Amino acid sequence: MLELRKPFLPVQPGTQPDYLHPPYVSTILRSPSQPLIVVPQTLSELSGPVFGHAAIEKFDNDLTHQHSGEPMGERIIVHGRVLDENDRPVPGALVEVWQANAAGRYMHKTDQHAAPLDPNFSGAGRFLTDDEGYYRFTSIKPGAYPWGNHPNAWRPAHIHFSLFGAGLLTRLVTQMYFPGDPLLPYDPIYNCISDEQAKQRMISKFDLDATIPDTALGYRYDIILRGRNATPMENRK
Amino acid sequence: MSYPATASQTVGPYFRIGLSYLDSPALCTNAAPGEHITISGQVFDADGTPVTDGQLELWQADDQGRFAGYDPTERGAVSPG
Repeated sequence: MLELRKPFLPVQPGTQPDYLHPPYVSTILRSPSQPLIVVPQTLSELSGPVFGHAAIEKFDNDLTHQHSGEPMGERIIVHGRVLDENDRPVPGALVEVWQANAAGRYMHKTDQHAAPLDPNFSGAGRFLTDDEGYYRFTSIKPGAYPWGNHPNAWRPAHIHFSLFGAGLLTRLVTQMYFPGDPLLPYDPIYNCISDEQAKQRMISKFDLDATIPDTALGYRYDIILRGRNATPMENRK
Repeated sequence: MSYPATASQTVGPYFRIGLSYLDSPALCTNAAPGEHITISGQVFDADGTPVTDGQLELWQADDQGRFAGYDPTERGAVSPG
């Protein structure tokens, strides 16, 4: 229980998206106009929330077998480890993924992009990391799709990730990109982070060892969640 | 070798975070001890337009100040509900 009283490390400057990044037009209204107030970390953020892990179902880690037929597109294996900033595995983290189909269309009522839906692909999954922080799922490579940010704007292919680790302050919602995607230099969402290495770490690596012959290409994507400070905060009763 | 935390990215306009099994306006059962309360409000964007597809996630201690998964008194389980 002592572990749960250790505060999380501060965010390193430049490694997270700028709140205001004018090329990403939505941030103009979305970003705070006044300086942020840093509130002290309390037990509720350090210890929770805790989610029941009972809701994981059989095909939640295989997005290619959630329907009667197989989805169109290039089958992929995505795997990696969830670690904290102290290089320790995060076991039991709830990882949720959602993505467009191979044509770049989401199965979502708001997405009216003129690309076909795939009746055999819902594009959502969830799973837990094992004792070593490892996860693995099967899917199809998502397509790029247009969006309204600026003329001829296209999102690079990406898979959305949400992670619940040891406490709410480690909550991470991010996107995994694919190596060599020609759209990355033009994407203001990818580019709203100033630290070049922090951007690169959102790009998965092609992994021949994880590739299943005749079946699916492998990609490796390791994720780092905030780590705890070595010093516990005082136990206030 | 350790790295700083992975950068966040927008949840996107087509988000479907999988926690739908938790979708519920009730955080407790009728049997949960303590004073039962209702909290309501509206979410607006920066134009003052109501947000019609926002998802709120919240968690709280029980009536004894205990969080599920952590009990500072280490005396017992958190109340059900």
